[in-house]
Amino acid sequence: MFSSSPTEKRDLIIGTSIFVLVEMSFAIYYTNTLIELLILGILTIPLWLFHELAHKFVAQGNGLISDFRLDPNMALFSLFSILLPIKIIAPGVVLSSGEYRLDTAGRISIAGPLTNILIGGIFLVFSAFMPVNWAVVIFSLVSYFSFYLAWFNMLPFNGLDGAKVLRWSQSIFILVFSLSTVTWLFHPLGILGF
Amino acid sequence: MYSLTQQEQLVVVIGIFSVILLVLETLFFSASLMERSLFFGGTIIGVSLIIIFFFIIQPMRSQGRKSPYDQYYTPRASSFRPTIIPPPKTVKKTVMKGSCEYCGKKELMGFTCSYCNNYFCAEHRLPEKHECLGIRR
Repeated sequence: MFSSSPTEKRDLIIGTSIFVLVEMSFAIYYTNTLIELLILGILTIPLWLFHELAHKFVAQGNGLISDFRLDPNMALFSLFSILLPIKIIAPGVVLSSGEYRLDTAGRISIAGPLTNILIGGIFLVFSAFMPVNWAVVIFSLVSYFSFYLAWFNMLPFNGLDGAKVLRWSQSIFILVFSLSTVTWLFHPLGILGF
Repeated sequence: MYSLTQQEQLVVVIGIFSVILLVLETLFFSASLMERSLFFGGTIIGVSLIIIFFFIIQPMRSQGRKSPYDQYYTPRASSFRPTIIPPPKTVKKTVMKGSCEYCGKKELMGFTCSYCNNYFCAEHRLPEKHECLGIRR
């Protein structure tokens, strides 16, 4: 039922490495040694990979043809944002084709941000059990990135997931957008953090 | 607009209620960082699992994993190939603002069709949705 292609595997590897590089460039301000930075890079792999795979699997579960493709221009722009203070990470998109209803498109879109919120929660719970201080910082940093990714993707602009969810149903958009905003703002490292 | 079923409405109400609970807990109760991380993370995992199950997994199961294309798919249809005329080599328009060529709706960040180079809203961006002249059978 779930299928993949060689092009997609190649694109996913390139996209994941771009994402890890950008996140590591942001995490430099929070970490002290190179080993910590490398561990953080490895831990951020599932955030982006599972986000894209969630879109793909839900689309294929609904009987559509779905594949991830790298967008060369956006990939280069994402690489360039390593040097910028504002990080924009959009190296590619999951393309789905077939006849589908409005609510199916919304369900495919909502799968990515919800996966990110779930992974962020899991990392936050793990961070409570870490014995060393730097491990606590790394785990909560990864969960902060995850919540930020979910919040950014839920913004209601064309091309992002939020627009498709808003076209499906307003109340579900309000629910998921408020959940991602609260998790991002009230996270220990967030703007209104505790 | 898609109308929600009773079960989906209930899930939305429970979800918004737990989000409010999350905000109140972080603002007004004092505890150590570890306890807060545990509570915050645990609540988030629970809420997101509920939403994932009721909005994604359950409708996917009830649909029976059947493609909506199956009713059109016949052996004759598989040998049918549309011929696509390549797009004319003109300079691509870089418009960020305008109205959709098909329905006339004003769109701030729309899409440019790569076959006919016209500007469309999100609903009519695909060639088959706006009766594109650049693609012919």
